[in-house]
Amino acid sequence: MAIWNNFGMNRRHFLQHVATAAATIPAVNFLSHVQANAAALKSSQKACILMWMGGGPPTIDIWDLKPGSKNGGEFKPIDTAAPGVQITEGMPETAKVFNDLSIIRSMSTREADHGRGRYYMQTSYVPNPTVVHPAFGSVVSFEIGRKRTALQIPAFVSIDGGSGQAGFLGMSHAPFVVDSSGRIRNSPSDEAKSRLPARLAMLKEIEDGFVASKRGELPEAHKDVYSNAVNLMVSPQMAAFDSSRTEAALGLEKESDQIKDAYGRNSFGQGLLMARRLVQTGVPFVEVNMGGWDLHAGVFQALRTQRLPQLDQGISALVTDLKQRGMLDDVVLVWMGEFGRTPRINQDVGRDHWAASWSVMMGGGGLKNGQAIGATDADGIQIADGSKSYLPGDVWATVAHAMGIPVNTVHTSKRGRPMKLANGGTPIQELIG
Amino acid sequence: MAGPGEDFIRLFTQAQRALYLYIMPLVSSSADADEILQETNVVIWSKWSQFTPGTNFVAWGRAIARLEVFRYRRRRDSRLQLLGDDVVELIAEQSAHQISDADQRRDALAECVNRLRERDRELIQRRYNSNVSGDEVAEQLGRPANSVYQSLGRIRRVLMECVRRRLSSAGAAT
Amino acid sequence: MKGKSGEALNQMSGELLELANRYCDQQLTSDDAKRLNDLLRLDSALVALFVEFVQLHGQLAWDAGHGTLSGRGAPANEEFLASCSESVSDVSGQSSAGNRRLSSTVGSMEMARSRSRGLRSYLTASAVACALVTVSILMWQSVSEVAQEAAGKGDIADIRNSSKDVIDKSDSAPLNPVGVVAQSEVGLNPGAGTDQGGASENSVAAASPDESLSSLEAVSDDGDTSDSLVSSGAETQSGSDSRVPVITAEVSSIPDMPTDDYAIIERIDELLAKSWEENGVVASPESEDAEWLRRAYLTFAGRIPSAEECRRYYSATGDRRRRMLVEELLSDARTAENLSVMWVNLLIGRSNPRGVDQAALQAFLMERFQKNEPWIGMVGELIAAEGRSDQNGATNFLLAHLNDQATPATAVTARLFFGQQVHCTQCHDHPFSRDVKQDQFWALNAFFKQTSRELIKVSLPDGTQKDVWKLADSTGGGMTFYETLRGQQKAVLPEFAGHRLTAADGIDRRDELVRLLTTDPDRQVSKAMVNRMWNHFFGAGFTTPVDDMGPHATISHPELLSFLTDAFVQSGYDTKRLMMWIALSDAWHRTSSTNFAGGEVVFEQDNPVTGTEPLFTRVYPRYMVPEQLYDSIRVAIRSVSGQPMESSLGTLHRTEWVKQFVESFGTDDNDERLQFDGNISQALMMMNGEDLEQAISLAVQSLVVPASGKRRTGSECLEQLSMSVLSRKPSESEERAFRNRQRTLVRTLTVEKAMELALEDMLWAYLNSAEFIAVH
Repeated sequence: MAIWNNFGMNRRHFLQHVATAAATIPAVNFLSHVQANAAALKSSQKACILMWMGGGPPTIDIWDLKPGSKNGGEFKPIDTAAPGVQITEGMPETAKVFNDLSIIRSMSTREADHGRGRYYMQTSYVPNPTVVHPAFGSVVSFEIGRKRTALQIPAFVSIDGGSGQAGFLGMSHAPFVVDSSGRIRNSPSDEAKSRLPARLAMLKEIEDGFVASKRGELPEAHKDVYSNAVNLMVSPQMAAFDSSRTEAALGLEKESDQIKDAYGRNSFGQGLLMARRLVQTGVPFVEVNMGGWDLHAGVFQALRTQRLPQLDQGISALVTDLKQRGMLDDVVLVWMGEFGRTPRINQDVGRDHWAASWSVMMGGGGLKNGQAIGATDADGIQIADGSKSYLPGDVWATVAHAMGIPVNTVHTSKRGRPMKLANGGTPIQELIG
Repeated sequence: MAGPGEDFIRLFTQAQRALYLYIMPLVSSSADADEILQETNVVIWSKWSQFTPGTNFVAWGRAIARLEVFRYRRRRDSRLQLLGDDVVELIAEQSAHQISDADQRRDALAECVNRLRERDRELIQRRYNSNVSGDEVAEQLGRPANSVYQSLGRIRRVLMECVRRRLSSAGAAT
Repeated sequence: MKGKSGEALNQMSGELLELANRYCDQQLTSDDAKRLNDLLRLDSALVALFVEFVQLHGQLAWDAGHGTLSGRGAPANEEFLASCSESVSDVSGQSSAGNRRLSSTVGSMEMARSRSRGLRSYLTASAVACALVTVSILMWQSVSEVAQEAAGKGDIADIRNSSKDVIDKSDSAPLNPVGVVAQSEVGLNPGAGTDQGGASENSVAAASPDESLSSLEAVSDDGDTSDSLVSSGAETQSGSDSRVPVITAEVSSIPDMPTDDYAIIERIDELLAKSWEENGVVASPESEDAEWLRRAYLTFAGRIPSAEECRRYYSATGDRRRRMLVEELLSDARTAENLSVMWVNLLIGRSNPRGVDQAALQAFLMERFQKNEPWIGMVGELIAAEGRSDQNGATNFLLAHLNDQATPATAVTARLFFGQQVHCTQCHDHPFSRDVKQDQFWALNAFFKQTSRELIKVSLPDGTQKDVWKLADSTGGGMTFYETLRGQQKAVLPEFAGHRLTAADGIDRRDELVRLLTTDPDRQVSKAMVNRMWNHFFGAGFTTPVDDMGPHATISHPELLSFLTDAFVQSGYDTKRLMMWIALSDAWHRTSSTNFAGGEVVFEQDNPVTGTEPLFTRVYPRYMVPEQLYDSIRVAIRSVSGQPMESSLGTLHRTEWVKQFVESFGTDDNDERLQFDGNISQALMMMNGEDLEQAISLAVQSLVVPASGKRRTGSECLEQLSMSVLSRKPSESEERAFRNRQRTLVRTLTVEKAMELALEDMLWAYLNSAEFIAVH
């Protein structure tokens, strides 16, 4: 191995190519740029709604049941509207709309620790002390949010908690965390609004002085975030967060009690409803959190009485609603947590952390839905022979494809390292057709 | 025999690096060093019959190279005149001594480059791999040229010390 | 003089290499060339150096161009790397450390006059200064002698001789320099070398290693422990009779370790200077007082200084004021409070998902920090705590983490106290550290497996009842079991730092773990605390993240870390001394600004945000943590209003306020996320928070018309604002902005009202600035 190892011609030229692009401008080859533009013409309102199941959902009880196995648990599979695809009996309404949803049953993601798994699933990269990778929502904010100049509210909104971070893309692409009630804490009073311009002018003098003292990224980042916050404060698009408010100009109506009931009067359901409103307003990435999945004990009880009914109602209402509005082809849905749960049922009738073989659900987004892709073995403990296994990067590459983000986009870390979109994952062929 | 034999060719090939390293301190730029080496080679090739097998090929080649350096200096522009003739003589004399352990130095340097911080290694590789100037490296990286030159200087010093260290520890081991 | 010319040559070598470097890059100016010629004519040693350097350049060019260079692909050898960088520093100044140290001694009088920093200048105030510095040299020398070996013995001998001269010349040189320090009202710890009294007060009956190992056996290679399962049982029972674990800050003398604070601080400076030189960076200049003052208050007391505190500091004259402030802050109760809050957050988190007694834990920590109890003792108390959650605050650490077979207790203990991230080895071997195996996690976990908690009802004096937790152990022995992912049962015994407990009954395993901490040859407890404290001061630790110091971790300054680790052990785990060393180190006084000649380059090379290793050429700016922000806003508002500072700001309301930024994941690892990284929600809170708006308006009212009666002028008020919020005077452009605002307002309002509103707006702007929200 030569001392110039790992630095052959290709890599060298590649690096030079990347380095000549400005640090914040992704290097995209010409061809994909053309594709991107074509995609953009087709629709300018692509979006992704991520349903984040914090704690790690037992997908073996939801999307990939194992009747007849000792690991099978208490739920029976039922048929869905998609021929040949079965899901849990606990989600009958979702089963009816499964033509618009799909399951990837052969996720194999190796990180079974909450923090590491969360990071890996959100960013497609395993944690690394030298760089903080952006969650995919921040990538979408960076790639699409910046182009939606009419959008005055943050392009990455997290409802009821946030599990991602903007990493090297910078704080202005960080998730804006709100709760599903639709109230934004500390929104400005009218008086505050009226004094804002004068105050900002004074603030600018202080900020300029501090920026000039060259203390790294913090002062600049602070400025950017403040400008985003100000945009948000003065924007009528704020109405999108609150389903009780109407804002005809945005094409939003006050949501009826009927629709609120349809989504479910719980924070997950109302979060999904808010997500739909945000997407309508042009927000390209919304994460809706449903926590409490770390079911080391009493898993079936929790699923039966609370989890599955809420999921079933929320997901089926969202799919139906998006479809009725003609938005479903533009909005890609992703349902995942940091990992799945052990096929084996433990002594507390719970399931523990399991990353070796589990499922992610996707839907909408113009994908070829109604499929179950990949398979696990009869006991669910490994990917079935002959089945391809998938990584988070493949899921996010599929989302990128659906949203018109060139899959071979490369970002540059603060250190100048090229970072492939979704860690170089490949869109799942069966879904993109 | 119409031309140089196999032994001569082998010695010739082996000497290339040593000659290049001999020339380098006299001219500083690798382009100049390359060119002088080529001219030296032409002369060596033309005088192959004057070489006495069993004597030191590199020393012989060095003498030729030295003359080529001075010829080259005379016909080229002012950048080659930065060092005085007397100083070039001093350097030439010293340079001849210092290439005796070139092989160990090469290995040592390889190790040392491998052990650089990744960032430093990349910088060195950019600079030398395609043999571009510090200005071009700076442009590629979007860094001020000044800072690139400083970094290069620092890395070279680190490497020099690392090589020294390795050589002295290797010397102690044997 | 030979030495003199050697030094001159040295200097010229540096210059020559600089020129040679420019030569390689064709950057020589004609002046440079002239100088280069001169130097080369001067000395053949310089020619040799020149040739060596340019030949290296040639090698790089040749090998790159011809691809003939093949490394042997040898595996990375850290040792070699280290020695490599060591030699770099040695040569760059030619046994630089020694020489520089010597000259600093000889010239200490002059030098001190030219430097404004407190410590050194103070030293020269009296004639003993020279002697003191000399002593530290001698100590330093013995430490670094080994390292110096390669760098030419002659130099060392020279240094020795010269230092001896210095001592001889100095008539008043006392035999016991420590005594001098103590007399001179410095307050620096004299060190254990001459007087161990202070340290041994802290230590409770140091257990001899033999005793403490009574219930242990060394781990044998084959791992077979069956023989000893019974045999050591009886001994153990008697050995662990004392219920209180023997926690000792054993002051084991570490050979060649300086014991006085001066020497330790000097050594820190020395090692950092060495790393700057190796990396070819210059450290940033010394910070302005305003910057440093603010940083010191935020770091120690967890809040900005009040306007009054600023003025008091500025009005003090003399070079000692920084050091005096450090001493004042060290003994201030607010520093203990700040440390205790920091550690409550680390130990059980802000969201308190398991509902333990946060306040009791904080009270426990606060009390210990205030008494400056040895850190290892505090760790021991936390690990071995028993009893009721309300009566023994220390119990709340484990009470918060005993869920899920005490796996969080295991992971958090390892992370916080040992700097080891082992949580992922709960399920499988460490992903990138081959040395950390799954069974190690469970062997540590086994120490906590006897421990249980129960909820009990207790009657309060007023007749009511409340629920409290009780933490207790069974002392039943035996193996403990864990399950692999495949469902296999595996058995382990408690094991730490190479010592495995037997399975015998009657051993309080947590007590044993505490004992083992004190004999741990790796001094993990010290190392982890040193790293965390360094990170607390500089905004970056020696490793990233700060609590991941396992075998795979890259340590930015191994020598410094290990030096401080030893020094901290030797000090008897004296937290305040550790803080003082860092606070008085040269680097911590440098500005966080890179706005100086060459600063861009340094910024580029030393910017840990980008994932490169920190060089500590400056302090790295970061956002305040929510507790710092809360307290700082209060201080600012009170300063503006002219109210005195509260002795304690009270934590109850703050705890609630902070919770709005914390999200508990509700997972088995009790993890939470702090949304306080300068995001939009935070900006909205600062811009629009109703409480803050009201506070601003009230504060400005009492600022304009103070209780004393006389109305203040606009510029007096403005100065009070900027002093209260940013600890400095307003800049010209800020004054201009304020006047402009006043002028606009006065068109529609009375002069008085206009001034008030303009002041409100200005205070708003100051509070919303990055300069305020940053610790820099």
